[in-house]
Amino acid sequence: MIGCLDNTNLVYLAFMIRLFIFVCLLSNATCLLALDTIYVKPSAQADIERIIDHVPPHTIIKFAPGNYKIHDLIIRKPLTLYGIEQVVFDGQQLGSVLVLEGRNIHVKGLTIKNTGYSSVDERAGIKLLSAYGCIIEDVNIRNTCFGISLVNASNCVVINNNIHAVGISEQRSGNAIHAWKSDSLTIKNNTVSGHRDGIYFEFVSKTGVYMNNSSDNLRYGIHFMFSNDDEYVGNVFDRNGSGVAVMFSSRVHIRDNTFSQGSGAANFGILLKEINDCEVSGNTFRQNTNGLYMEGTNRVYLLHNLFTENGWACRVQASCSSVIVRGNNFIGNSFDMATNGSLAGQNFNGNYWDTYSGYDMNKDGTGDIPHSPVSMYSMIVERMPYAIMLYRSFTVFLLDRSERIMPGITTEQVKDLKPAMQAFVL
Amino acid sequence: MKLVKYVFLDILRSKILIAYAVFLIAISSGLFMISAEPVKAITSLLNIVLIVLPLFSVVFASSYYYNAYEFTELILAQPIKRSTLFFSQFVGVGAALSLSFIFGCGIPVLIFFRDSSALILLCCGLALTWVFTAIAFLAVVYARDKTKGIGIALLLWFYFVFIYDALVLLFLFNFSNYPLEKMLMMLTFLNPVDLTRIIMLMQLDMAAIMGYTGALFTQFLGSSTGLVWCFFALLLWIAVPFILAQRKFTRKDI
Repeated sequence: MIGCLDNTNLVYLAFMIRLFIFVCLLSNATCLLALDTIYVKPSAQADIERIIDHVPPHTIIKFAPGNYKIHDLIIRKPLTLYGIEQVVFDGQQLGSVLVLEGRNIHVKGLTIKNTGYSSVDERAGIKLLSAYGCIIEDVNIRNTCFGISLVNASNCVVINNNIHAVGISEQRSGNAIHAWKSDSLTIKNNTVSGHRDGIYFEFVSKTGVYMNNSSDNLRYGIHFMFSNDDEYVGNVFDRNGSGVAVMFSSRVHIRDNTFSQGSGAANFGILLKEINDCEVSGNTFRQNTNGLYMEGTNRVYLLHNLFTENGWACRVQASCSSVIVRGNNFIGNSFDMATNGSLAGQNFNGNYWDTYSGYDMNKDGTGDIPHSPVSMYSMIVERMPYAIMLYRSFTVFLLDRSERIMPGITTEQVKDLKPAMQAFVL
Repeated sequence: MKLVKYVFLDILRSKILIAYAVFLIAISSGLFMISAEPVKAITSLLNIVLIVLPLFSVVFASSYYYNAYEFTELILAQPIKRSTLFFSQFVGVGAALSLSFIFGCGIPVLIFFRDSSALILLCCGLALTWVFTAIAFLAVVYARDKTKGIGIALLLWFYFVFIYDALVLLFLFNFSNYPLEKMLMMLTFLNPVDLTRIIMLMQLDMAAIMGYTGALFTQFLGSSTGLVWCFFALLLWIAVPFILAQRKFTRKDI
């Protein structure tokens, strides 16, 4: 019969089939678009658990402004929890507030507070357990033990949240954003403060941490262990109790962050311990007791960073190998570089040091005589911290000068063979 | 008091003092103009205050003593107590030096950088001027010969600015395994130059970035009680050498 159809009919049939497919798709799409939306008012807060059990997946639950007394609310199906201004979920110090255990859950615009502290379980404002594809967005979290806790989560996004607590002791306080055994997360634009660690990563891979502000935490701005293939870019870490620690990880990219105002002998702008193949570039280290501290690292690239007004800009321990330091500006630090032994196989060529006193006769922009950034006095202070009493005294100046003219004690290996005459534009 | 006035006015007429004030003006305003941040200029100025100021005070005070020796003999022939004369000479020299310091350093500092740390720097400079005037007077009363007296005064300056720090370094090398916190404080107080240097570093907020030992200093010297202690210690550094010198002067054979 088909054979009987002439050419016009064939075209018509093809058009009808296409139209049918299009209509099917459209109805399907409208079916997706016309998701059920349920409004919940504070007066209905006793029924929230039942509502969540009964609504079909992909329902949008909108909360009206008000105070909701909720704790340990478990969500296992893909829902959107949406707060329209001033929706407060109060945990009343009784436990975690939201527990997300499913896929594609979207939480937006809520204020969550008061989880209380327990030594038995880890209470969090929002806890994601084995969750996938969840989004936590525009959430204010106040006065919780942990802020957002991601356990065995993957492909989740934590964005534009504001997490603040008033932690008193490290023991009775949790982390603002806590990720454990997770992968492919995006942590972006969050502001966290007053917790134990601002951001805590353990066994987290392929994750990006972008543009967050982590300050005034009791311990670390970011605490990062056993986490490979991660990058953090454009974050600000300010006034944290112990700075930032990155340990036991490989292939980490640390770019364009600011590490500032970490003061104290055990405070490090950033501490790198047992790190392999790491890139630290474009960062600013300002006003830290120790700007950057490296121990047991392999193949760390320090490129185009600015070290300014630190006590010790860089402390590179002798256990590091293949460190490449290039294109950095060292300006106004008390000590540019310190080490506890000999540094073999490192490359310090091509940086700008404001303490460089050489000259550039052939005008190629690099100094003609090598610069050794480890001063005699910094070696002395490394060995005897009390010698800091003599900081800026004339005797120390004489010692440093005579050592620079006739080096005898300072390590010969740490040398910039091509020191830049002008600071780099970063 | 009349004596103080005469000594003071007599010294103010000296060209060296004017040159000193001009030098201070030039160097401090130059530093402020060169460096972009006034705090850095203050740190550079600190080095001047710690080295040049004591040196000039020592040399000027000791040479004054010898130059005014005939005047001293003349006055002592009058019914005037030796201690009064000595005291007025000390105050006259100290006041003249302080005035030229205030003039030379104070005006540029107050023009370019009005801050508490600038004020503390000026106070430290004044204190050091008086301390080293007293030390110079102590040195010269023990030596009749001019060269020897100035030599001793210079040696004392050299001791406080260089040798003392080297000795401290040696001491730290040998005892670095012991807890030295209190010892370190004592060592600081035993040298007015070190004391003023550390007070200034505290003021310029460098202690925060200097680690454990820095924290130690902040804890003690950063508080207002600490500052009072320092002030008291500096007063002692003026009073003790002066009293010793005065005792010697009243007893010695002119």
